[in-house]
Amino acid sequence: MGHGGESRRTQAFDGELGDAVARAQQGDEAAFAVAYRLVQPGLLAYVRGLVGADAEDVMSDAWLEIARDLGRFKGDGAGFRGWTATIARHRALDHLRRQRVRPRASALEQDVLELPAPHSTHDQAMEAMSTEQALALVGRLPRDQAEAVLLRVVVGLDGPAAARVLGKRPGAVRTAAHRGLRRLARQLAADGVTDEAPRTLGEST
Amino acid sequence: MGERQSDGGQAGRRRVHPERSDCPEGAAAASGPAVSVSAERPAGDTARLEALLVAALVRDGVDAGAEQRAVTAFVAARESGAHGARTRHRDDWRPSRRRFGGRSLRATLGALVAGCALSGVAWAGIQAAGAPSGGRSEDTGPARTPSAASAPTVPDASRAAGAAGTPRVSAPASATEAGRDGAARGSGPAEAAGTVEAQCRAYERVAGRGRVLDAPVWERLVAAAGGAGRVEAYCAGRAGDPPPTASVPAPEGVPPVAGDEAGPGRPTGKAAGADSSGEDKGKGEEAGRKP
Repeated sequence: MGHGGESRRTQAFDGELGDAVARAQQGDEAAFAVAYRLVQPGLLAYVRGLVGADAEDVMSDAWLEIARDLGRFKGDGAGFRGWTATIARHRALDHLRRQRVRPRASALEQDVLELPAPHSTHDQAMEAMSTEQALALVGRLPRDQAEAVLLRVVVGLDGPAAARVLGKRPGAVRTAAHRGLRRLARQLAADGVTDEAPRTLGEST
Repeated sequence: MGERQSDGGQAGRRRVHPERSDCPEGAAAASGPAVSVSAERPAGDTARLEALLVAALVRDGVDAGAEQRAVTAFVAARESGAHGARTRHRDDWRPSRRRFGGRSLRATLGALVAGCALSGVAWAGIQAAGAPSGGRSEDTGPARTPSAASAPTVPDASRAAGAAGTPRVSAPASATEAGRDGAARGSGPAEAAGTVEAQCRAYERVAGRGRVLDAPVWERLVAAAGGAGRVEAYCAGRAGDPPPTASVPAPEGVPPVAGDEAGPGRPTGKAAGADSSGEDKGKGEEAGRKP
């Protein structure tokens, strides 16, 4: 996929996505499959950040709703991302409510508290990161920051769309995304000194 | 290192703050050097971090089974006609509308606030100009429905009204008269009571500041009090009115004075003591407006 950044990547696909959605709304199931393939990876990553290992199940439910309500949707490719992200988020929150668990799967948090131990310098840490490490990093952010980062970076929403998904003001979401990214960068750089991490977290909350 | 980091982090936060209103990407990139840990790194860290997150979190390709289930659900919905459903607000993601909606929401809120402020001013003005300045207002209190919009002094009177039984009209006015008056003027008397007190408070504040006291409202207050020198005593007397006595007509003998002194503005003021308070108010007001 390269390192162009998901948002740029998704924006490039938004035209294609918009076409697919429009055709799907005419009843074209193949176009619906195209839209699914374009949107699902980012949504799954976002939902995984919310509910952890149950993300696939949650997204299955979400897609049932998306498939059912597609006729109601109005908008282009970017709008479809926001619309589907909203549905996915609702399903994820429902799931969390049912489970009565914290959004950050504690198992992940515990397992990967020592972030990339082999990476003693920042540059090494910045070269590669496993999914679990990334999830653990994001999971240690405050909830609003984690969601803002994921929606912006992974789902590829712009500020206003992310704000609408979260039901907040765009300025608040922009701020949350910035803080989250900055904190992630600090944590990445602070690997190897993980005992310092909680203090850093608490201090900047 | 931890020490240095937290310091740097805070400094970074502070320094970055103003940039936040700009383009988010640019601000994030620019904030890179401000964070101490990135001092030894090139800018553009944010982009790298984002790419890293994407690479770690987003798995290209989808589960074929899950895709098939989604498509099946799509076909089922299509066959059942669910796709003809009406678009709800939350389904409308058209960009123009979204932008417009955001703007209009803000504009609506602004207009609402401004409207409330202006209408409040207008209402206060009307009350100040139209309310009789005598003490009659409290007489009618018991006959009134308590109003949430009333002035701060009202709750006691309202409670008294409730205790006295709201339906029992203490004034000998005809029911229709009272009804008409009540319907037309809402919580008028209660507000009038509040108005006089508000005038008193305002008077204390502006007293001695020259021309303000020439305004008609002040003239009326002065007239009601029976002279500029007696305004303070008048106000003090009003402030001392025990609210529970609201059902007693003409407390502290203020209204006759007001009626006498107000002269042309309140021709029926004197009759108020014996007359129906509600009716009197109506008359007084009408008479006051006619000239």
